[in-house]
Amino acid sequence: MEKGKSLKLAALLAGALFLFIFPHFAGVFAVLLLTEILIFALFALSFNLLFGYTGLLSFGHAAFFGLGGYAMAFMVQHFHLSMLPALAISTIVAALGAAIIGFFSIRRDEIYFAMLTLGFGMMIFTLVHQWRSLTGGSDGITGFEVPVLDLLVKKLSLFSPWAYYYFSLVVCLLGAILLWRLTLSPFGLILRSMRENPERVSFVGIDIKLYRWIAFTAAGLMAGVAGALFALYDRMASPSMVHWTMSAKPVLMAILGGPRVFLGPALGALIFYLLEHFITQYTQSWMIFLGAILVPIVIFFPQGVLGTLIAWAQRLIRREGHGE
Amino acid sequence: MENDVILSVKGLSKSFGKFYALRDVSVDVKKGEITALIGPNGAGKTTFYNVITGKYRPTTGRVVFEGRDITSLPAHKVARLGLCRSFQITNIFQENTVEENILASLVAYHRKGLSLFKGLGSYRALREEAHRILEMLGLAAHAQEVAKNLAYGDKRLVEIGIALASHPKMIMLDEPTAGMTPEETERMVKMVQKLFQKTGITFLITEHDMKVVFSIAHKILVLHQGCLLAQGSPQEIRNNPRVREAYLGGSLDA
Repeated sequence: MEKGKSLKLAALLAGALFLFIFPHFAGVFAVLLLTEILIFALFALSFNLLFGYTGLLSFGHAAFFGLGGYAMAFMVQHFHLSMLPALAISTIVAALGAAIIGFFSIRRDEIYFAMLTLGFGMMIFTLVHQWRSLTGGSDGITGFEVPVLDLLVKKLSLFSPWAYYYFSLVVCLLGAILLWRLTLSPFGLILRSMRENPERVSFVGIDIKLYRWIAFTAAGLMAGVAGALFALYDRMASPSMVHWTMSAKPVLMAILGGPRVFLGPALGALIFYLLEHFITQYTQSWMIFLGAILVPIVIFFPQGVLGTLIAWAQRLIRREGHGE
Repeated sequence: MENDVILSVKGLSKSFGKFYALRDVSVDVKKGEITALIGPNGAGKTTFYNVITGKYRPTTGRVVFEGRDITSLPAHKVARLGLCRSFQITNIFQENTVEENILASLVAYHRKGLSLFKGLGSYRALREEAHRILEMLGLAAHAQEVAKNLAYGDKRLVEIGIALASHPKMIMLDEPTAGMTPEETERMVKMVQKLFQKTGITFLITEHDMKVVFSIAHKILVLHQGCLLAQGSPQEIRNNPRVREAYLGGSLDA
């Protein structure tokens, strides 16, 4: 067990070191790609609080990604807010949206929950698409700059891809740490217990609707942070951010990386983007290859890439322990 | 006398469409006793449990627990009042560790569930309590195992541990020995007796095995086709001609 722990710590340190040092020496393209991966990693992690931890499969998580993104674009475009207030407002907007949609969606579980979230997601998409005066319709909101990061003692421009990368890195790490703490708390235990057996949880005195609602709102809030970062990264908030295909991305990432391991969906995001990047160099129909990779993973490695790797490592360590 | 009654059920009926699973059942369960609820398959035992613990709403009738009307209260509120149940099929948190199974229930009882960011590991009192419960059940050695990997009999004990951890005043066990080997059954019966003696919790147990029923129950309730056929001490039930005729036949002497 001790060996497993130190191995885990070493892997985490190596990962963090890479994220902080590599971009310093990397070209602009790699830095942009890595920024997008980070943002989607946070998006996928927020989704997985519902999927992997609470046992609720949402097909409408892009709604909150989009709400965060549009709120950010709107604040920057019309009110020229600096970074932190704009980010705070976008987060609140997404959390409020999640609280409202969650209030209704969590009344059912399994496929009915999935359909409710899909339905709400489509409603948000239509709203965004049609309400031209507010959202710019199919053009979205464009033509704004990344706001300055006002730290009171110092104002930092986040204009360069490197500056924006490091800002995103800090925000995504903080977001991931918050989500991680959530999964380790008594609240997180109740979520995992609900995933296993919601009925039993209610028979020990837990109001499962309340807990699902909180989880839904927290997941939506963090998706909003990711969406706000993405709108600035992309220099636009567009309807594609709230389209149902955007809701499918965190689902794929979580399954690819492993929904039962905290960082599984983050690794899923990395794999997803690396695949997309390398395969689209040869063909535009990269989704065929994504499917060809996803199918065997779901059939043979339902724990996902990270989940499977960890299971292997544990078995190796145990075998070694027996040999000694 | 009235103070002795912990659970009082009056005129309880539950119909599913035209079918009455329970019809006008009135019983009192005495505090500090082990009461057994028996009856053939389909007699309405599990429905009785489900109506009382808030899974179903009764069609008519009243349920009073410790002087409080709990008719139609949702399950989590019934549990909060100290009336807990186990299930006929193994109903635990399979992918979580044994310790976590117990902890979930403790977190609920101590109302720590909305603690969002403090690590579970730092709640030492909770973990010690979980350890005490597992020790009492003889499961302490399995604390860190994933629950689904346990032997069947142990899983059923985890089930009881989850109920125990919510500090119940009364536990309703739904066929705790269902599907068990004779050895496992004996172990479970001894465990229930031990828990009863140690904690003084009131038990209501449904059970098929008449030997078990007559050896541990202070009082027996007999359900037959949704109606209460008889109630009384094991001796009275054994000698009741209606019970013999309707349900037990010759197997009473088992």
